[in-house]
Amino acid sequence: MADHFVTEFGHRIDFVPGFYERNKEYVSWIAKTDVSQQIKTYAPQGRVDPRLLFRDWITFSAAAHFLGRHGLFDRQYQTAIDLGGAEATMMRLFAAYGAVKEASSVDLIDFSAAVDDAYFDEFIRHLNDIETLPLQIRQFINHARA
Amino acid sequence: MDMLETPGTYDLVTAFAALDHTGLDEVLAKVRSMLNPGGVFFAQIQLWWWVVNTTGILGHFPYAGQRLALNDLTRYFAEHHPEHVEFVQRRYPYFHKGEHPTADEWVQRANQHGLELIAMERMVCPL
Repeated sequence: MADHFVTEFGHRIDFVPGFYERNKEYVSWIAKTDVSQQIKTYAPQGRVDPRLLFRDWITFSAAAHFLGRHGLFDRQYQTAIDLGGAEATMMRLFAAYGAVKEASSVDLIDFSAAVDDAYFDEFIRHLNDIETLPLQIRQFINHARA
Repeated sequence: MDMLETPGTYDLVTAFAALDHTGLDEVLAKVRSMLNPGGVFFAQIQLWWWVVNTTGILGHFPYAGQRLALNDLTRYFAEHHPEHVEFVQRRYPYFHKGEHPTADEWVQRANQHGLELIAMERMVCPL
């Protein structure tokens, strides 16, 4: 196999050994990912996989931390909307943490039923009852809270 | 519902990696029209310019999609991953319908639509 590529302008680009192999699993996941299908596949009994909820919680935490550092999280927004929030998880989290009073979400497909209120409440309880979580997640949360 | 058809105005509008497929100007104009006076728009955006971005285009060297013009990129994949040529041609125009704005260009365009930057932070995928 070649170890370089030459552009139409004659520039030589050397391949980086192992680069493709290191990243191809991540990329193949993207290539196969249809988000709507992903949610359906990962939703036992119509509910979204808790791993996706946890991913959303991490994303929310980063956003809340960012907004907080700029004085924008504790404004108690009266109305808010999340664009592209098919499962409505993000706005539920904003509301659950008291940042938003009237929260809504919009997406091409409404998957909010995949995270019904009981399921969401259970997820929040688990987050707040850190001792019930797997060791890796406990370590992550403890690190994030430190 | 298409986000560009969403009615109403809001104090906070958020978007978490959800705007990539939209035209940049049309979505920024829509967001501006959705904000109440003093409202806040928070967007977590993904960029074409990441070493491995969400188009899924990957070569044997970093930034293959960004370093090669589409002609070269297509030829590179035809030579080394012919099974992915169709995929690459489909995914190349994924970000903002073929625009590949940098973070700074994103902000400039937002300014043009009447949005004022409060803060920006860059996060890097741990790859």
